[in-house]
Formats: sequence, structure tokens, C-alpha cells
Amino acid sequence: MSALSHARHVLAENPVTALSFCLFALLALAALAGPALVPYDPLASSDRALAPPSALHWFGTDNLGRDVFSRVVVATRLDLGMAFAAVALVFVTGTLAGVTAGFLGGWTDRVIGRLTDTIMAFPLFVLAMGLVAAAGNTVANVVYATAIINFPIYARVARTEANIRRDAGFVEAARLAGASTATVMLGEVLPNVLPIMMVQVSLTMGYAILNTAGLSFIGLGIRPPTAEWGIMVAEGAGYIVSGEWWIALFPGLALMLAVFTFNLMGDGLRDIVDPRRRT
Amino acid sequence: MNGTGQPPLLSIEDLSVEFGTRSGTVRALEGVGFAIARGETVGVVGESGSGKSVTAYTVMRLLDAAARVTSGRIVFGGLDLLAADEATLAEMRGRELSMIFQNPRASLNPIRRVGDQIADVLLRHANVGAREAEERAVALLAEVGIPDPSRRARAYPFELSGGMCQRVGIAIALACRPALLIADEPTTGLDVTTQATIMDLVAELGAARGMATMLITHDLGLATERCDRVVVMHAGHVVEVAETGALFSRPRHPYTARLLAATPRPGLSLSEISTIPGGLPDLRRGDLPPCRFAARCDRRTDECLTLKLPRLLEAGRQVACRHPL
Amino acid sequence: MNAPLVEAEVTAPPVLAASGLCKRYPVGGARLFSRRAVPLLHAVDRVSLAVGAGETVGLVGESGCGKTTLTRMLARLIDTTEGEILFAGEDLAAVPAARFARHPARASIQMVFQDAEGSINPRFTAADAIAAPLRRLKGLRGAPLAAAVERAAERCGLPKTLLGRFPHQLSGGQKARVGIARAVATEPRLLILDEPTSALDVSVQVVILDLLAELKRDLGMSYLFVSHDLNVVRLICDRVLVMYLGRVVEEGPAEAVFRAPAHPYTRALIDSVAIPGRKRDGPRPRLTGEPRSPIDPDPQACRFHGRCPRGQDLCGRAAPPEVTPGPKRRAFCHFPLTEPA
Repeated sequence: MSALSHARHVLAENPVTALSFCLFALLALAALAGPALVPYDPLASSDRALAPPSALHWFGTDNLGRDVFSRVVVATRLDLGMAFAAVALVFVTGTLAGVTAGFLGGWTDRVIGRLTDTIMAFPLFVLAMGLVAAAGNTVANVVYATAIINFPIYARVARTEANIRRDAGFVEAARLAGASTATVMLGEVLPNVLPIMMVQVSLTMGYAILNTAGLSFIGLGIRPPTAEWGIMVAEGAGYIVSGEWWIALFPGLALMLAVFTFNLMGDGLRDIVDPRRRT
Repeated sequence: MNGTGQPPLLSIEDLSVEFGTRSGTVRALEGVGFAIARGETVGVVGESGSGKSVTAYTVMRLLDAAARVTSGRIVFGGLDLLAADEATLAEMRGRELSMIFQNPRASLNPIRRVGDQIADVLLRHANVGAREAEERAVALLAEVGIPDPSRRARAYPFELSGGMCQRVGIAIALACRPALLIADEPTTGLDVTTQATIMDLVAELGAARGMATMLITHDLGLATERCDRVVVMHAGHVVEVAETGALFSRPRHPYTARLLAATPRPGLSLSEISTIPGGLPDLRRGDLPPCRFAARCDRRTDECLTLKLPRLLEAGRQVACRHPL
Repeated sequence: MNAPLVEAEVTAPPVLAASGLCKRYPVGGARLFSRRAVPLLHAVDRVSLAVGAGETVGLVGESGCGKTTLTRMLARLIDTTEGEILFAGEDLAAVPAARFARHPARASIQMVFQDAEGSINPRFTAADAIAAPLRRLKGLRGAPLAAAVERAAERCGLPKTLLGRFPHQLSGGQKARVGIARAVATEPRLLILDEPTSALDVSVQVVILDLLAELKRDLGMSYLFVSHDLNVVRLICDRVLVMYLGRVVEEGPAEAVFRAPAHPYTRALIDSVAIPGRKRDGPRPRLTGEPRSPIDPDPQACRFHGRCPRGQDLCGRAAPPEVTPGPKRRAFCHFPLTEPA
């Protein structure tokens, strides 16, 4: 069975996974083509402020008369982009650190272990806040901070997976075939660890999105008037009491949808990537 | 079949089991039938895919959810196990009918002490209080030959060797003095000297209690030594059943003869050991011939591929072959 | 230090001659401020063996006897604590295991594993597995590599159509063939086989054993065959070594050792093995007691003392001497057996 037919099979068997892929496609579309497709300029204010959802403004308008729908769609690029950058960064560094620690053991393992322990000693969101506040309130720092607080989970999962396979027969066989320690670690063990890390990537994407939105909710990272889900929720929060629920709800729903999609995708991705599931 | 006129303890009749899998329905067992008398040790031998483990699990009603019993009866002490409800079966298992498994470590709960695991069975079936269950557990550990039993009862499985874990498994299985013990490859993975002592133990305890044993194994040597009668299985069929000595000295089914001829024995050189041509048929096919060994058999005729498989009964033997040796 | 047993009359030197091999592991971890010496587990204790050209040497013993550690040392996957391994005129034990991957002799000593499934990377195909040693040790690439892989597969009876499959898509026998094809791809001089057929059905085992015999002839290899199945060892080995708790207790031509074992442990092993098709008459002696601890063993006592049916006081006070129960045989026992099994 080829990779493609296996993928089709998994999606056919698992409608929930198929749904998550469709949703992901939707989000990707919004991120890539959103700005070109939205009916209104997300930054343009108008005099139709605080208008409830209608045929003209599907999600209503906010306190400056900006179209909420356009802003929600355009924000997708920013939120997903930042989360993706953070996850890509921590995926590479965390997996490599974890595999090295798990495979080599000894001092490497101890040092990396203490590093992850240090990070995990803090409540992670508070740590992210602290890092951004200390390093400077920029988008890049939000990305780095998000990557750092996710480092322990990647390193730990990768370490466990590498540790299990350290004494495997195929590792010995690779050494017999002339592979050096580095080659064995990267060429033999790492490919076995990657499927499990793929699940982590998807789960962490959801968490990273929440993180970046959360930081901008409290004023770190993205600044208004940029359209971003966290800021929009923050801006809309003040209007809920007075009855203008749509300003905070729709960005909130978008956040929820994004996290939900990535969580569902994690399992499906693993099924596709792991050849043991192929028949 | 057993000559004493008593009804057998366990009687499997025309048992057929299928598994629904992603790639089709696997006809794992077809028309399997044999009986075990009280106190008898019957070996079930065959290679991988023969259905011997599936048979054991069907008797214990421990099959996977994907399994379907499509025909047959399993009569144990007068009760049809296939028709019984879960409550009756739960009463049976551990008390009248119990099992020991291939990987002793895997069949013990790694996070509970071994003494507690033995006590569980007693608490469930023997109607005793916690204190007495504990004491009996220690006594059972002593019976299975574990030194310093009162201390070992507090041990976790990882603290014990493979042989000792298997002894604990035996203690659990025999705690309520079952009438039938099913042993599924109980010595694979154990050292040869440990294997011998474990099998001695099972035989000894069995004889003392008049317990019958169904010994599932791929090891013909083990079957020769420990079994009164042997059931030979191939691709989900029972091909031959006979008393041990007679089976191996004068096999009547071609597969039995081939199996023996493929087994290394002292006095034979490598060139004198022959292989069995072909391989197992694909049990997912809908067009399997009545004799599943025919494709690999040099005695086959057209009738073997079309006519129903005969089950010849003669002088205490069962042979499923149109052209027995 | 015992010299390996090598026939004096034969002019060809052994393919591999190991002497005084030891492997000791510290147990319990070092204590920072303790004066006491760290206890050591003697996994392999002064083992010497030689494998002649074209010979199949069997290595038997139960779990904990050190045969796995010994094979890993000979295959240079782990370092020796002491001892030398002479191969093609060089002491391989002097080369650290971590650096042996790059050594020219790497291609000449290969190994076939017991668990064929576990020894093939589940993420790669059979072709990848067979290609790996050819790529790294022989520097083959592209078309010559593919051709060499196909040749190796063909030689081992593995149909070309299976080369693209993953291990979980192959049967037990097919996986065994992949493991063998990979090991013989570089045409090694010495092949170490660690229980290559124990996970296989008996009918498949015959085929694999036949294949191994054919390959040995065609490629002129020598085998070190480790197995717990004494019937198989008796079938294909020229000589056999019996190990117990890290030491060699008996060595000699296979048939002679099996017919008339000199060491009580060898005798116990043989007695435990059931012969298919033949019921044994009479009860057999059983080994009782627990094996001694391999941690800091007493050098002035026989390791088997305590379980040995023939043991006496002397066995606990003095290390057993080497005796010669027959031509080209040796055993280490105070009271060796003399009657046939």
C-alpha cells in the first residue's frame, strides 16, 4: 500500500480525522488567502460602530466600526504563523535535545534533564510573560518564549522514545553495518521517534496558538490596531456586559476552532506517518 | 475415546471461529473437535497459525471482540461454555478452569505484589476472608517451590526471575484446584533447566489433584514427554489425535509425519531433516479446499480438493485424511 | 589464562582466537566518599575460544551465563574489560567499540540476531536494511548498490518483490532471511549467529539451517552459533562450548560432548532436553538450588558448587582444574563424569 492510499484509508476509517483535516484546510486557506478575500479592510474604521451581526457584517462591527469577520479571518495568518514558527523552532531543538539525551545518557542526559526541570519549575504561562516582559515586547520574543515553554514536553517525549530504542536490535545491526554513533542516533533512532513527535507537534500547535493569543490578551506581543484573536477578545471583553457579545465571541470561537482542529489532527497524523500502521 | 466409559471433562465439538479483520475474514478454526478426560494431559501441537492458541482462548471465552464463533459446542463438565452467560463463565474461570500463559511476566500485574495477586483468586472464588486468603497464598507459593514464601509474597513481579514468575502464575491458576488447566506455551522463553522443573511442577500438582491439562506447544519434545495424548493442528484444522507414543512412532497424517521429520533429533544429520513444502494457506480466502494441507501434500488427489474432509476414527485415533499413511 | 583449544596438526591458523576475555560491570553505582571497592558483576570471566576456518562452533548456556555479552564483545559492539581478540593478525580488543565501525575488519565480522523483527529498523524497508552495510562498509552507491542488494537477497532465497516491504509486512522466515542477507552481504569471514532460528517454526527452521549451511560453503565463512536448543546445536556444530556464570565449563567436538558430557552442568542441560518422538525411561536428576551470584564471585570456588549433584567440600574451597576427558576436549571440574549420557 502506498503512502497515499494508506492516507486515504485512514481518513476513510476515521471520519473525525477527516473532519479535522478539512478544518485545517479551511484555516490554511484563511491564513494564506484571507487578506485577499475578506470583504472589508480589517483596519478601516467606519461609523457603523457596535453593529450586531447582519447580512452586511456577518460578525458585526467593533467599537471602531471595523468589520469583525474580516478581522477574524485576517488574524488567522498572524496567530497561526506565530504559533507555527514557535512550534517549528521547538520541534527541531526539543527533539534533537531529547534524542541526544535519551540515546547518549550520562552527563548529556543529566544536563538536559536539569534544563527541562528548570523550565518546568515555573508555571509556564507566567514564564512566557516574564520572558517577553524582560526581553522586550516584540513578536519575535513571543515566538521564542512560546518555544521555550514548550521545550520540556518535546525533550521529554523524544528522550523517552530514544531511550527505549537505545538497545534495540536494529541499533546494534546499524553499528555492525559501520554506522557511527551520530549516524545511528540521527539515521536510525530519530526516524522512529518522529511519528510520535508529529502527534506532539499537532497538540502543541493548539497550545502555542492559545499562548500567543493569551500573551496579546494581556498586552504583550501584538499591539492594536493589528487584527489578532487575543487582542480582539481583550477589546471585546469590555463590551460583553453592555450586550455587544459578538466582538469577543467570534475571535474566541476562532481560537477554539483552531485548537480543536490541531488536537484532532494529531492522532490522524500519527496513523498516516507510522509505517507499522500500513497493511 | 478414553476407554473408561466416563464422559470426558472437556469436549470440543465441531468448533469454528472466524475473525473479522481489515483485510478480510480469517477462518481461524474450522470443525475443531477433541476431548480431554479427567486427569489426562493432552498436548495441542502445531506451528504458528495452526489455531492452537485460538482454541485455548475460545475454551476460556477470552477471545478478542473481532472473533465470532460460527459453529460448535464446548462442553465442560456438562455445561456448554459457548452458550453460558458472562456471570457463569466468571464463576468458572479461576475455579474450575484456569490458564497459564506464555510470557509469565506479562501475565502478572507489574504494580501489585504477587501474594496479593494470588489472594485475588481466592477472595473471588474460595469464599474466604482477607486474612485467610493471604495465608493460603503464602502456602501456595511454598507448594510451587518458591523459597522463603512469606517474604516473596510481598515481592513485585520485577523482583522475580522468569521461572519464578511462571511459578507464581501456576500458583494463581491452581489456587482453587481447577479441574482443567490450560497451559499456553508455558515454557517458551524459559531456560531449558527451568522448563523442566516447571513442567515437573505442573505434572506433580496435577497428579495430586486429579487435574487435567491442555498443553499448547510447538515443541514436540515437550509434548512427547508430558502428554498422554496429542492433538495435531494445521491451519485451523485438527489433523490427527492419538496417544503420544503411537502418534510419534506411527503417524498417520502426512502433516504429522512431516512435522516430526522436520524436527532436529539426535542421530540425524542436517541432510536427513526435511522441510515441509509450501506454506500455510491464506485463511482469509473464501475458496479454501476441504483439506487445508492438500496443497502441500504429496499424497493428494483431486478428491482431497473437492470432497468433504473425512474424520476417520480407529482404535483410539482420529485422522482427518483421505489417504492416511 | 587458558590458551584456546586449537588443533596442533592443522596448519591453518584460526579465523578468530580470543584469550582471557573478561567483562565486568560495576554494580550499584560509584559512591562518592566510600572507601569500599565497588562490587563488580563478572559477566564474562576469563573466557578463551578459537574458531577455525570453515568451522561451526556452538555456544550454549542458560540466561546469565554470559554468552550474549561474549558475542557482543567478539562482534566488537561492547568493549572488553580484559583480554585479547586476535583476528587477521590484529588484536581487535584494543580498538574501542565506539570506533570499530570505521575499522577495516568491521565488514569481516558480522552478526545475525535472534529477534529478526527487532533487528530491522521498522521505518525502513528490507532493501534499506540489506543495503546499509554495503553502503557504509563497501562504499557502494546507486546502481551497483541496488544490484548488490538484489544479489544478496537472491542468494538468501528472498524474492525480489519483498525487498520493498517493511518488517511488519514480512513473515518470520522472510525476516530471518533479510537478517541473514544483510549479515552476509559484505561476505564476512566470521558470522556470529545469536539464536537465529529460535523464533521460527520447525519447518521454517530447517530451511534456514539449510540456507546457512549453503552460505557457509559458498562464502567460506566460519560460524559461532549461539543457541539454547541443544538439538539444533548438536545438528550443525562441529565443536561446542558450554558456559555457566561467565566461565567456559566444557569444550569439545559436539557429538562427543553430547554423547558423554564430562561436566555435571553439561549433563544436566542435556538431561533437561526432551527428545521429540522418544519418551524417556526413568526419572532424571533435576538441578536444585539457586545459581551463585555473579557479583564478586569467589575465585577459589567452582561456580557450579551448590547446585551440582556431584559437589563436595573441595568444590567450595578450590577452583576447578582443567581436565581432558578425551581428545581435543577440556572441562573444568574436580569430579568430571566418565559415563556416557
